[in-house]
Amino acid sequence: MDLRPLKVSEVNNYIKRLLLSDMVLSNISVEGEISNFKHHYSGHMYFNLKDEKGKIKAVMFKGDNEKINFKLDEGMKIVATGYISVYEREGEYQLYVKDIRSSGIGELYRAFEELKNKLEQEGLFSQDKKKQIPFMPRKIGVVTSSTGAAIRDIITIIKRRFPPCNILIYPTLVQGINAPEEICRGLEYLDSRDDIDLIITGRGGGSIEELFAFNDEKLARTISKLKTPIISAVGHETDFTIADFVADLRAPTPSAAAELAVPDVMYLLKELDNKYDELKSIINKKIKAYKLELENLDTKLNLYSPLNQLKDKKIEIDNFLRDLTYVMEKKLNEKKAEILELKGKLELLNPNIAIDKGYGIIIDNRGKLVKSIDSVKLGDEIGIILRDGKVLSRVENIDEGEKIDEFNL
Amino acid sequence: MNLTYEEAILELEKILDELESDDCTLKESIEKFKRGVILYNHCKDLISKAEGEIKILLEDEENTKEETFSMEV
Repeated sequence: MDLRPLKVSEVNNYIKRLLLSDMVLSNISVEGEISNFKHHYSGHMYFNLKDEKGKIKAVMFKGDNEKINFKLDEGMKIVATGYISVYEREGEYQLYVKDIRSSGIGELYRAFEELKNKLEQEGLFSQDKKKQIPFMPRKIGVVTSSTGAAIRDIITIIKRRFPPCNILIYPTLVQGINAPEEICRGLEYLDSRDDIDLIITGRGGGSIEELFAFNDEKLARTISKLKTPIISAVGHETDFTIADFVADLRAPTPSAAAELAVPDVMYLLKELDNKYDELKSIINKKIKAYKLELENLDTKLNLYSPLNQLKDKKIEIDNFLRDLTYVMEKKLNEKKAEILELKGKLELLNPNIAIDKGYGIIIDNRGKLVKSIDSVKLGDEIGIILRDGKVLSRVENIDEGEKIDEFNL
Repeated sequence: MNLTYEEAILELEKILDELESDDCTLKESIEKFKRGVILYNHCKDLISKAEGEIKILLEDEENTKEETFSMEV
């Protein structure tokens, strides 16, 4: 049985599917020289790639060729990456180019080094030209792609570190041949405004070709003429671009640029509150010291007050009085004791006591005590006073000598 | 008060130094303290202001306008 004849379009479509399912052809890099180059007004590029023995048709659509950062030209040696498919209307296979590298990245490096040396000698990188990055910018202008990770990182970090900061985004391409022009326009526009305190320009990481927009000479010169301080933030830690050298400050990444652009509000608050505490503590210490001094003065004043002197005198007087009383009482007691002693002695001498025991007191007729035989003569009348009365007697005999022992009393 | 944050902080630090140095009278100390509190409040206001705006510049034939930018996640 014969197979049904196929239509032309069916054949082309079949071949197309065959090519697209091929492992090698569906993701291929082709090296060759550009010929018959046409940049169509639609934005697509059409050219041939050829070497000594052959050629292949190639197309690069607008969306893809916008990302290339160098100009394609006749005879240029390139490496084109993409896939091979069929253009069904013409029945032609061709290379659909997604990306182009200049053959040998060495050329890019050489261009980079040349430009870097040139600008360095012109003094564009000089440290004296670097402007001070403001400590607390009120509004930051950002020149970058509005869809990349870079702008998201920048906004997130600025908002976290310092919420009051305003951000104005000037969206641009960040890779491809038109990127430098757009970035320059953005920078000049933001610089012309008077409300922008700081500019950040940059992009996230990428291949050296993708970052190449930031190695543009015009961009470098535009950056060096800005009056507004600018931080560059291109790619990763290890990527250095010309823009980094000209900018006032190079941040290793867009996130780092945001960190460098604004202070951390939490830290500021802590620092501020510490200062406030210090202020309060110093003034309290001072007031306390003054208060203490005042209390000391008050104590001294009291010490020298007449009221106090009066009090002291009163105590002195009280003391005197107490001493006086003591001395007086002591004297009195002594005298009392003396009197008591005298009284005892006196009592011993009291004749009444002897009379009680049987002694008598002899008196003469004139009432005088007779103490000696010399006071009387024979025949005198004498009286003898006894306990209960008086005996009248007459002297009949006088015997000289101490005879008292003869009486056995 | 027109001082920037840095100017205000610098003055506040100067006041702290002067107060610490013990050279001023009670009246001067109180004056400095009052000024310090004003500076503190000023700084605090500057960093506790309302959230800043995030805007994007959009161009359409000759016109540039600013629109609020929202991040699509």
